[in-house]
Amino acid sequence: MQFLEWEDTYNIGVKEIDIQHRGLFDIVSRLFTSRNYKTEGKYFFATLVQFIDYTKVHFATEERYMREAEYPKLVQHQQQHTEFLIEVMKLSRDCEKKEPDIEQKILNFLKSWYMNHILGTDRDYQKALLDKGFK
Amino acid sequence: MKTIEWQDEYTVGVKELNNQHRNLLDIINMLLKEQSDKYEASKFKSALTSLIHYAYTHFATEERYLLEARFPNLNQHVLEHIDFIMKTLGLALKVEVNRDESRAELLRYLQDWYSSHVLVTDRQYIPFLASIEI
Repeated sequence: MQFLEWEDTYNIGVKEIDIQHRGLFDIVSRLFTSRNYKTEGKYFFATLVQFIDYTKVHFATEERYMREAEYPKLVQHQQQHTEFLIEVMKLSRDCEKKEPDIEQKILNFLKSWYMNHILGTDRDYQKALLDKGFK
Repeated sequence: MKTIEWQDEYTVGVKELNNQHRNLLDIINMLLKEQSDKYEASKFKSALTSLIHYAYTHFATEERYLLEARFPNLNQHVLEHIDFIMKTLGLALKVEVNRDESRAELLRYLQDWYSSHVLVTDRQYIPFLASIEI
């Protein structure tokens, strides 16, 4: 399974958020490509941990913008962030325990999250942020 | 510790990669300077985190170009990237436990890595990149 190809249409027009979305995209891409090379499982796990750290920073940034823009669905959006973090941390524990097929499971999960959340749900706040004059 | 100054001859011929190499150098130099000036642990840590995250972005970009250019040593090159991430993460953990000594070790590693990977190994792919359209 392949991850996505980057497209400039993925940008939402607020620079700080776009840089972070691209950063997350690149880390997930590396989780995918790491499987084409004979790397130790340690690398996959270490990269996943970095991904989780980066995600926490990103969610905080995004929530700050949404709050400042008085985005009405902030609470629901935050809820999705929390649920995602809980799930991905659970998966990372399974990864550390080397559960069977865990890497594939994580890749599937991250790909569908990137498509549904970043390329889906996140589009919903775009207008609120741009209307507020953020760029 | 001594910073590394960017020189025009460090370019690899692709603007995006040159910019990223310069950005990586800026972050590494920031860390090297932290060592000599007044050291602030939280600033050091956050610069180090930026370096690791930025390395993921840069490696992903570089490897996309190398794949397109059918660079024959891609496999080896990717393994060097992975090795960098693992070593840097390992040393970052050591810095948390045993500050001064490990910090110097980490900084020496970053200096050596930039000089031997970016300024030497990366030059192997220059002729291959020349063959792709950018």
